[in-house]
Amino acid sequence: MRELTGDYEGKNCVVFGANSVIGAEVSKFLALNGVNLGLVDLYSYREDTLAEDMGSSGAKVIYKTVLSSSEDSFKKAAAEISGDLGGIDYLICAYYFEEERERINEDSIGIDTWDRWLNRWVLNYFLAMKAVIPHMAQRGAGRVIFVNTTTGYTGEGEGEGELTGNGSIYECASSSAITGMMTSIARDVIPKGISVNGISLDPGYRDDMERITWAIRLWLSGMCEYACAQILRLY
Amino acid sequence: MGAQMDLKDRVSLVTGGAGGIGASICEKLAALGSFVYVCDIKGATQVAERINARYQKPRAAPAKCDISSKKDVEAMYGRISEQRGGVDILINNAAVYGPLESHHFPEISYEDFVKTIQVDLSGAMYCTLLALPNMKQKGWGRIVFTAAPMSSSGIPSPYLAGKAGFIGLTKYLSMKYSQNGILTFALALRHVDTPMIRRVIESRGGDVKEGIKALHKKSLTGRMITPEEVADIYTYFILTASPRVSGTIILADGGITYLR
Repeated sequence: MRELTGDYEGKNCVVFGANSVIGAEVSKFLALNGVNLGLVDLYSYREDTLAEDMGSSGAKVIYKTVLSSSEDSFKKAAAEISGDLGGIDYLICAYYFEEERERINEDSIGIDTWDRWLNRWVLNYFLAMKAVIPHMAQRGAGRVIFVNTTTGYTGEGEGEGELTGNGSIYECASSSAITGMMTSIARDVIPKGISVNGISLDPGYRDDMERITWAIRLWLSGMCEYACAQILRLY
Repeated sequence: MGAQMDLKDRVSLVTGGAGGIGASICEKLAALGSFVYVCDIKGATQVAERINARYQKPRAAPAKCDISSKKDVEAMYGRISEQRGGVDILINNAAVYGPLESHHFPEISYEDFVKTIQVDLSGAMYCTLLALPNMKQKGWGRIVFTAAPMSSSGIPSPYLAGKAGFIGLTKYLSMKYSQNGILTFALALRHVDTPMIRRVIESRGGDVKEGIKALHKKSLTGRMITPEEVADIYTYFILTASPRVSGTIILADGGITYLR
């Protein structure tokens, strides 16, 4: 019987959006399980805090900052991480709008705001995939996990998460766009031995790390020999 | 039934209005009495002229616009607002398929991805955001999306991302505005017998006649849905929907997704 539980010791993972609450917690979880990490985000890290959290794990951790919507920047980061760690086994896209603390008022919804959501979330997930997949394809194996929110299915943007609320039309549209993109890409890369799956979180449960790490373990496990383009919806 | 069974005094905007599905929708809406703006990069004038030739008074006007451009969309809405007061019925139908070659991942280029999703998703977002103020003011509006099943395979990632984005938009708009008289609906289509599908077959080096035959056969109904039938579904929703059915996403794929 194939191993369905995780044996991550010595694996290498890129986490895009490592500075988000989920990205940081997932990174810590992986480091404690022996996974070497390439932590990537659009702005600099609280590196000291993360280093302290992961210090005792013994995992190798590399930090990279990338420019939003810059293909070159993503490619360079992936190449450097792959070189330093000796390949990439996993990619977890866990970016979220942590830096956009202000609530968006319905009366101020504007078409410029949409461009920012599209660029930062959908297009950067695409670029993260575009940069990392070739490194996985070389080895004929890889696991990719997209993290988005359930708003793309429910249309409910007024959960407990402080970043949703009026104006979350942007989140609903970009979240479901990520799901569609994932479905199409999953089909394209499965013949290369790379599985792509997703986790959709209720914005009110973004800090329920027990469930999130359970889902991460599932999609990194041997289960992915059989599952592809699947979304776990965690409400 | 209590529903308004004609669309007199309603202004419609149909993006991709010169294409196979779009032109059928424009014709149908005009036949129901709506004044229709045929929005497209090219071909809009011909469709508007064809419609107007059937009626004593004009029922259509071309709205040449590249909906991937914010400036173009804002300018178009400015003109419509000046001429007719605003858009009451918005049909987000425009789409480009993406690169016909090298559309698989990871071969697809970032530039092609951006170009496609800008038309397919951002264009609809721009049009929707700019249509909402007039609809809110009137307490009446219909927003419709031409979507696709999220599980569609073999479709370029930016096209599917854009179409899937409509699902979130449909759900959000219905949650937010159904009680204010603005109703939303999406039709998830797989294969429609249009010139676009012929171009895709041709670009892949296939025999168009055989390809079309195969697609008809793929559907459990034995044939693809036609643009006229798509237009019928849209107008049925526009004429009869109530807040309780707003947010509905209908899969009109001939049973391919779940039954094949």
